[in-house]
Amino acid sequence: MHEEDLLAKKELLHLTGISYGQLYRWKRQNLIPEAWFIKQASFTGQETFFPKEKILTRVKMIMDLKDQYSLDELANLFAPESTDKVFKVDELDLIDGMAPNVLQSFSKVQATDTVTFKDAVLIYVLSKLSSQYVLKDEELQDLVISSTHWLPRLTNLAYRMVVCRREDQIFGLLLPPDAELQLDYKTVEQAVFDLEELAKELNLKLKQSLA
Amino acid sequence: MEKLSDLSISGVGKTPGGKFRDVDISGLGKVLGDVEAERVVISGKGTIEGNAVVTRKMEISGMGTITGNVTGGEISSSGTGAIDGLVDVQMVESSGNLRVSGEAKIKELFCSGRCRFDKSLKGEKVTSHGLLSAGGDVEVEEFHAQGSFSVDGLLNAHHIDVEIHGYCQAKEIGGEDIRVRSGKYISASILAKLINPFLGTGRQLDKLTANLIEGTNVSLEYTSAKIVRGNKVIIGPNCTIDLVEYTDSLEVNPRAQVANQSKLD
Repeated sequence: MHEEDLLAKKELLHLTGISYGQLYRWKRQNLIPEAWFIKQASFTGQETFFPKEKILTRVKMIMDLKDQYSLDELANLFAPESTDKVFKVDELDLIDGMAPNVLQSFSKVQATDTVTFKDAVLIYVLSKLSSQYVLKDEELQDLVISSTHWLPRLTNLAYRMVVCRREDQIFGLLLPPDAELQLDYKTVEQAVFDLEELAKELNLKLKQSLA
Repeated sequence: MEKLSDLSISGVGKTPGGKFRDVDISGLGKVLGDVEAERVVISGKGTIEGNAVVTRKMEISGMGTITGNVTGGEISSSGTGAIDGLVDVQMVESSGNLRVSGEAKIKELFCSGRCRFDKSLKGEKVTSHGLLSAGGDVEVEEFHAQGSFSVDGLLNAHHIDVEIHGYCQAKEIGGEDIRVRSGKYISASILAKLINPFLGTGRQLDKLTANLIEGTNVSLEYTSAKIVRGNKVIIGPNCTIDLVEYTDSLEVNPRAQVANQSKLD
């Protein structure tokens, strides 16, 4: 289980300056996922905590975008769509954060120049990975091939992708978000990506660029 | 446009479901299967064994049972209505006894009898003069209750306005403006003492009880809560609160008990 820093509700309001009313409204509007409200026992009884980084990023996004969009539109933007929408590779190339080499590799492996939203999420994840770590061409291609094997079996995006390295070998694992993972001592976890979160991020970028 | 026929059961009868214009059950009737209609009127004892899609209105004045989901326009019940599945409609008006076993999505709910939701209730506006209960969360923009309610989960609304008659209870309450007032006729405390043991744990006559109340503006009377948090907090008479945390201001009535209070920066 990957440990996450938690932030108490009180501290969240203090740090961001939002009110209780705003927080509860955003919860009603599904701008903040139910799963982020983590109840834990504390000396005052039960307290609500949030995954620190995620909630701070989300609150900032809502604050930045709320003048531009209505709350309903925002909820729509954050909702990860399992859209049947199909995107052209050239179209995705224009999206910030999409690595051209990953896109090319993906369309070569799949032998198509159109991808679904789910495909795009995995391309986006691998693009993130390749921007954070130096990957050899073969390594990247292996991960792309793995992704294309995974994709038909995914009914939703409630997964996390863990990228591990064992000596010079790199490999990817796809796990349910809360699943525990034990690795042998020679293997190191290099990066973890929450597919659902990145799907929302990508969804937002797509809607903004195609609008 | 396709021409639809009416379905009417006025004696004792069973009939298969289907698509109709009006469905009228005034005897003892059973529809076996899904029904799609503009209007469904049940004034006897009617059962729909299946889902009902009602584009305009479902009226129950006798005893109506729907074993599946009800979706569409309005539900108006002055009798006893039982919906075993979920409800997704624009409006519900109930002056009788209504029970929904599945999740409920109701844009506007008027309850003057008894409404019981076994799971959660989502919508825009709730106005209740009767007894409203939910086994899960209640999430609406406006929540006005004059009477009793019981929410086993979180009562989350932008405006929460409560006038206590009977007992009011929620596990947690959260929102922008939360205002709790006592009903005009507060029963003698002896009566309350006699009745309280029969209401079940966590319920007190003529009181609102909650574990946690959080809002931007919170103004309470006759409330027992473990924790109250807010920006502006007013604790009125006959409140018993273990801990109040506030950021802007706090007023405590001399007839209230607040065990601990702290101002957060």
